[in-house]
Amino acid sequence: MSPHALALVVGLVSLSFLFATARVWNAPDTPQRHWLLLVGIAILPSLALLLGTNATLEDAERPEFCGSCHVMTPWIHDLKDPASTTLAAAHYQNRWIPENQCYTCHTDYKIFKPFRGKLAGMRHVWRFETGRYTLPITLAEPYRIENCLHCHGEARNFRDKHADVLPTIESGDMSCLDCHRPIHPDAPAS
Amino acid sequence: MKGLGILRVSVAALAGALGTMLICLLWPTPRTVTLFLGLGLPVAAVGLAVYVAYVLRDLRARRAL
Repeated sequence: MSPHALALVVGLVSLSFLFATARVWNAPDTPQRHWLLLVGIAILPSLALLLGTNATLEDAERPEFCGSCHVMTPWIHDLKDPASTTLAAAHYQNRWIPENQCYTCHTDYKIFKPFRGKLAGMRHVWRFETGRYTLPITLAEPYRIENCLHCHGEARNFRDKHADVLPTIESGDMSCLDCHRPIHPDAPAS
Repeated sequence: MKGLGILRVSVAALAGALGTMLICLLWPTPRTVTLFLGLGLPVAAVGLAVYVAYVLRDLRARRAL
């Protein structure tokens, strides 16, 4: 069972159980009543909300979710465009990244960094919903090549082909994006 | 029974939070995610806090605390 389906089932059971606790509100004050209230009000809903939050954050990693904000439409179209020559489209169409392609490149790979990525994503959602953004859309901070090196860094063909510039790349003085362009299509101005 | 009002508030808050969670899981869009994470989860936290308050009050009334 997928985390999504599990969260849905536990959520439904929890909600039903929560409404069922109304039946024991006025019941005699017994230990059983207290246990039922504890399970129905505290334990099951907490479990369901935990699973639901996890499933929601996982759902939010899919490109379809990123594309559900209309400002992202040009980038999502480009990913799927067979004529596209962008780096992002090549990674998507060749399935070099099998799933969650936007999230995989736009998150960081150190402890707590994915959490920061989620928080940044939530800020984006908030800004989109409240209209507090300006066009053209730009990255909030410079792109970190650690995200490229997370997959490519130890790959033999990468190390062989980049042997002459490897120390410069690893020291941070050279970015993958200096040579490998275009990454995405240009951001529309309006 | 004493404290039923506070229990009702807790159940209503948690039911609301679970409702937003189910909507979000059935239709995951930025709007429903905002609804669940931005509104549902804080409301659930309030619901749980209210339940804890109910339990503490009950324990105090029994002189168990």
